[in-house]
Amino acid sequence: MKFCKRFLLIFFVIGKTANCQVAQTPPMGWNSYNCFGSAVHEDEVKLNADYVAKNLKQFGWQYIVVDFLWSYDNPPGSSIGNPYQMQMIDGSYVPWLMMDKWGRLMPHANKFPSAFGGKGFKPLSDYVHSLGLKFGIHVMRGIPRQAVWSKSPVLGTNGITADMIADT
Amino acid sequence: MYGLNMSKPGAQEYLNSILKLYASWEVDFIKVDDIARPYRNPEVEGYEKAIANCGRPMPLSISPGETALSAADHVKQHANMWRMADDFWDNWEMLLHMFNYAKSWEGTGGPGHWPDCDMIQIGKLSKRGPVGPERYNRFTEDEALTHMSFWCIYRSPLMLGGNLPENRDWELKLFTNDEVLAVNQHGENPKQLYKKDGSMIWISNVSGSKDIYVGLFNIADSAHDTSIDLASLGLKGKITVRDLWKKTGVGEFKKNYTQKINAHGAALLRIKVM
Repeated sequence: MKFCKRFLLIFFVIGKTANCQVAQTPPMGWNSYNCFGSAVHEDEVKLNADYVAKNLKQFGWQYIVVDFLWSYDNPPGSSIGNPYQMQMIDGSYVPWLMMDKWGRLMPHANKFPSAFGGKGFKPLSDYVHSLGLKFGIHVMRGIPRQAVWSKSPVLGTNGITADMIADT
Repeated sequence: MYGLNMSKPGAQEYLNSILKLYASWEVDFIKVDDIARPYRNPEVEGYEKAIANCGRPMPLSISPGETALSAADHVKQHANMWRMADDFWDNWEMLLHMFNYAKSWEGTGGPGHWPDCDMIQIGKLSKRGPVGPERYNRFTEDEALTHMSFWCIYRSPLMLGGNLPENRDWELKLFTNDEVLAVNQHGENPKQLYKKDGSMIWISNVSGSKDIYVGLFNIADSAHDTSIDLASLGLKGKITVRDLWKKTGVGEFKKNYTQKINAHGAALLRIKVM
């Protein structure tokens, strides 16, 4: 890919190697969407990862992918798709997706308890890696509406906020 | 979500900031949604740049389909896998449509860039939505065999969609045949040989060998013979045939190979020139 050359050059210069050669064969793994929709919980991801490690890994299956809406607290019984978000008269946003101060979505701790305290997906990723597997996530294109409404600052910029870069 | 206006200062930095976060979580793969239909060139490139910037290699999978064929050159260069069709489910008609999508994208796959037939709808599905009641897949065993065989010979990414702990022996068997999975991982240049009279044949080359992988598909509603004319593969003289699902030799043949296939069923073969 186009940026691999630059990437390799940078790592060559600082004396490390980077593997740009991803997906050299078709990726093989598991994805949560078709069985759990938006409402997958961490324990279900772990059970599927355990199954892959025990039964499938030796045949080349390796990715464990959490599909969409991991930042949303599906209420009990909810299998909703993308929830319609509103800004209320009092300035609050309904529903609230988990998000950090930089306007970046975070996994919701009600569905992913190990993410509690701002740890994000690192603990679940560690678990998947401990089984000798790889960890993947779904990303919805763009920037959260609530980041735009609350003018979240963009990390790595000097004063640029979410509302200045969104295609609203 | 709102889209990003990639021409605005700070838009690339935002993508860089989320990929930096994902890299800190040691994420190995991202599936970016709502980007392939309609196809959004600047944002696809934005994610590609952000991955390169984050210092952690990860395949970029884009979704949903159908991705426009007019985007073929761009998507091959900037993404690692892309959906050919809208969401695929456990439905024979959708499987028939997938063969057409695959044919239209024939020749675009290769190391680092794969046309994606979508997840594998075999096993326990839709436990908590999103489409239809909780069920084991609605495919017959022959249709499930066709599904898995086609994803393999076409070299689609293989992402299992079912709840794996509820797999029965049948599902586990479909996912653990090393000779069949080798067709997916190591076949080369898959192409459709023909589709007519209720039969469809796809072939690919066995990496590092003169052998040929052959997928025989009966897409008609009753069992019938499916034939392959060896001259159409450029083969003269005797060949041996191995059935990869059964892991057994079928025998020696000349000129022609014919096998009876169940309705909606398939066979995956490896042909060796003697």
